[in-house]
Amino acid sequence: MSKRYGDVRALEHVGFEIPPNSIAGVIGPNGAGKTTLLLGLAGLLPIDGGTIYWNDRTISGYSRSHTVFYVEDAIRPHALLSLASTLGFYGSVFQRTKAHCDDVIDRLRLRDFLRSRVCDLSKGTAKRFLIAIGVLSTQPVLMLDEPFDGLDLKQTLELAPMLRGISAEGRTLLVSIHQLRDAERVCDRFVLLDNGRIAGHGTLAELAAHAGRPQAERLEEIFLALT
Amino acid sequence: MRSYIQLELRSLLASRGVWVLLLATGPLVGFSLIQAISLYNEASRTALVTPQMAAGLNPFDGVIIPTYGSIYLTLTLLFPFVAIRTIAEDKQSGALRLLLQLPSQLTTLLPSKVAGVIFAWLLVELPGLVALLLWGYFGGHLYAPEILCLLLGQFLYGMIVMAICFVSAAATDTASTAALLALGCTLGSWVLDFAATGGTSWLTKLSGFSLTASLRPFEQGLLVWKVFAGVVLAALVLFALTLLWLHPGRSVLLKVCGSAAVLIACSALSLPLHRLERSIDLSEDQRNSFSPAVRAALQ
Repeated sequence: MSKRYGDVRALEHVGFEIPPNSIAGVIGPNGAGKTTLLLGLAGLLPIDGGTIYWNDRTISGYSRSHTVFYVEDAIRPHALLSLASTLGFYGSVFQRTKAHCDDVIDRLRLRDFLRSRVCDLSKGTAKRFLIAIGVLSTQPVLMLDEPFDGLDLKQTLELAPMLRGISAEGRTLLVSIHQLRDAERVCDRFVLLDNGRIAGHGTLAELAAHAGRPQAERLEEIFLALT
Repeated sequence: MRSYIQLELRSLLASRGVWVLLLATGPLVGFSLIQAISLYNEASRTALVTPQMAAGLNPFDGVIIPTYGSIYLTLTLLFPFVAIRTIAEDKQSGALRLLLQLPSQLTTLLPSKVAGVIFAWLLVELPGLVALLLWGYFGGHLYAPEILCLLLGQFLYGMIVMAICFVSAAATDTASTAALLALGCTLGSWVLDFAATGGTSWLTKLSGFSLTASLRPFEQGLLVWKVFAGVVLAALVLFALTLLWLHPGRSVLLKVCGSAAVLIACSALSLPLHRLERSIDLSEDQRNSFSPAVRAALQ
């Protein structure tokens, strides 16, 4: 995938593969092209070139929403509506049962905020609300932009197993994370982005070997070696 | 679809804009009704002295149309903000990108937004309906076909204003830019119509294409099929353009090419409209038609 904004190169021949039911982390500093990559994958941003495959079949921009669901970072959708209305809407559109919606609400500790308006939520609660929308979706690939941003340590520690649970249920997750410690905690594989280019992709061991540091155990060390 | 419409209605009712619209329309319509009745009363007194004048007086022209003039003002000046909000708010809050990834996508999203704005239009029309009820309750004369013709005209005008607002909101990044664009069209059209009164011949011709001109036959109790079909076609074309420009995943080139194709299709479809010469005179006194004597002579 390639994408330019005028003279600025946002993505240049970015290509990688993610096995089904895994959690892949898109890692990179601010401005590396993480959000552009996810928007392009979701078909929400016109790309200059590239092809996206799912199960060895090309998925066009129009049909991508059948495969991929992407939740952006720092958005306040349906700001004037209550959490209950909004989550009820997404639950109904995705034909989720009430039991499933209740389970998602409880797992993300949103029950106390159901009557609150989306615009009145704190940053952490708003983040959990966005994750809830993502969890309610039914597309086989779920992409989350900075899912840990705004969450405290306890919430982060609770979210990691939840994401693993979603993956275990048969969905593939692609999450953009700039905190390497968080990425290590939740991801099976990594896509390292630097200045719009792939610096490496694979499991931690594969990346360590690619970086020429097979003994490296921390993502930070590997990332610095590759970028 | 039901969930989408519920979401739109909840969102609309939660916004202050629609309540401001209703609060502004109510007193405006009330004031217009009182003024119209007062003026009609004065004119009627003169008609008592000169009976010939009474023949030219009818409550539809004297009371109902001036009262609905205030709703026309609301539809031109305030209603666009509510219509723009339904799309611009979703764009700015990030909701649109979520909604576009839902299984049913644009084909459900746009009709639900149209339904939401039609509800807002109904709210705008509510004070007008109350005025009609009051006029009828106090013994004023109402002729249903004329009123329905006027309401149809108001609905079509509301639809075309909504469609302009939707395209503006879809094609621009912010609500303020969309408002500038939409009001440029609605107000521009209004000003054009105003300037054409007693203006040069080319200005008069140009004003024939204004939005206000499309409403005028309906205000005269005349259902002109050419105007009706033209307004419906224009609204459908604008909705098609909205569908094209709303999705952020489409390139500008694709949007421009698609728009050109839609406009060519519209031109082709509008050609047969010129042949639609028929109209129905729904006025009570058949003032838009020849008198029975002339009709008989012509036949």
